[in-house]
Amino acid sequence: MKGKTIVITSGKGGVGKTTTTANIGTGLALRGHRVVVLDTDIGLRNLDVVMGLENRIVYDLVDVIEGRCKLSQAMIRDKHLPELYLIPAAQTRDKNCINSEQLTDLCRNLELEFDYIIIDCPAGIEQGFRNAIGPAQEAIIVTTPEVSALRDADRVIGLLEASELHRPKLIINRIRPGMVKRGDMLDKDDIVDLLAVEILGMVPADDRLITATNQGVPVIHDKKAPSGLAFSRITARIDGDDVPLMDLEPKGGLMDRVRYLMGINRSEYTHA
Amino acid sequence: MLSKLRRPRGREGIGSGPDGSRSIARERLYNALNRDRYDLLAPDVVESLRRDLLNVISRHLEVDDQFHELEIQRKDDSFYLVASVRISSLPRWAAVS
Ligand SMILES: Nc1ncnc2c1ncn2[C@@H]1O[C@H](COP(=O)(O)OP(=O)(O)OP(=O)(O)O)[C@@H](O)[C@H]1O
Ligand SMILES: [Mg+2]
Repeated sequence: MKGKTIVITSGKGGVGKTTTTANIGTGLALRGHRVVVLDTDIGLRNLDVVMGLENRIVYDLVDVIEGRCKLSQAMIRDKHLPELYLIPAAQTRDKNCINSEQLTDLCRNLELEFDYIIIDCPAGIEQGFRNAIGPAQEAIIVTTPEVSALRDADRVIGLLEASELHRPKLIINRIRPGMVKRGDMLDKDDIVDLLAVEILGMVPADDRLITATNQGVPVIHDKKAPSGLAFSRITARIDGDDVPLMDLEPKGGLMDRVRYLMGINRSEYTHA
Repeated sequence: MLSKLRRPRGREGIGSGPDGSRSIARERLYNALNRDRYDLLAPDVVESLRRDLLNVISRHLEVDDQFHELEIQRKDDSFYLVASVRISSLPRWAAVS
């Protein structure tokens, strides 16, 4: 059995790549797979904090590549899931200290033992991006429903296609269903129409995601979080389940409807 | 393909209706994507078209071995392939009629 390597990328920074990597990795492990999440954002590592594992780091990705430790020594086991591991990025180096071949060799090794390797890509389209997409067999692009993020996503799709990573799929993050309903936010149909890309999932903007992240717990563990539910559905799709895409809806209660009609921004609850 | 740009009615709050800032965002994204794709695509595609087009044309007409003009041009919201090549010698049948 051979594992699969998936890169999570975006072009634009701050749209939710690290959050998505943590939740998809956790989601796949929850489904019983053996998973490694790999932080390639060298110099700006974050995946460790989002996973709540920052205090356990001894060795990092660059240590492995430069031979200062064995691969297994840089793999940090998750607090909750015994089949989920993090390989953290180096914090005191920069993106040019590794190359795409080295990262590809590393992932080929991991694929022998793990079902999924999920790569958290740095923002931008320079060396760090090139490194991160090198080993991947599939690519997922994270965007928000904003002109700038979507424009960068389109650029990245072009670059991925040019690197033989065909048909990347899109996750639209931080959707506010109330704003979509009011006609104040681009929706899924606009995005499919203009970018001509397959949508892998839609994640609402969610206060519970922030609370969970504050505690170093991926929000997919929170059964009440709309964003967690969205990530579960995305994970199921990655894993081959046929889960239909549903429009995000503001929660049905009368008060919620009144609130979003009045334009009061609250966490907008949904059924994913 | 693109719906007409409509002004949003009220800002925020009750009654801002179905044509808020979304249609403006859509229009701006459409233009930005076209602009970027055009900037990135033009040199490569034009280069590969150059030889192929000359081959095809010279099966029918005797023309210069390079284009007088060959480019993708933008006019309003559309893109056009504009090509012009000098015919070096008209074939007899074309000269008659
Ligand atoms: N659906 C969401 N709802 C609320 N907050 C979110 C959501 N998704 C992401 N965030 C928050 O947005 C911020 C940026 O997310 P994240 O760090 O995952 O982005 P990134 O793409 O990895 O950024 P960078 O490009 O800097 O690596 C974080 O503070 C995160 O908690
Ligand atoms: Mg990040």
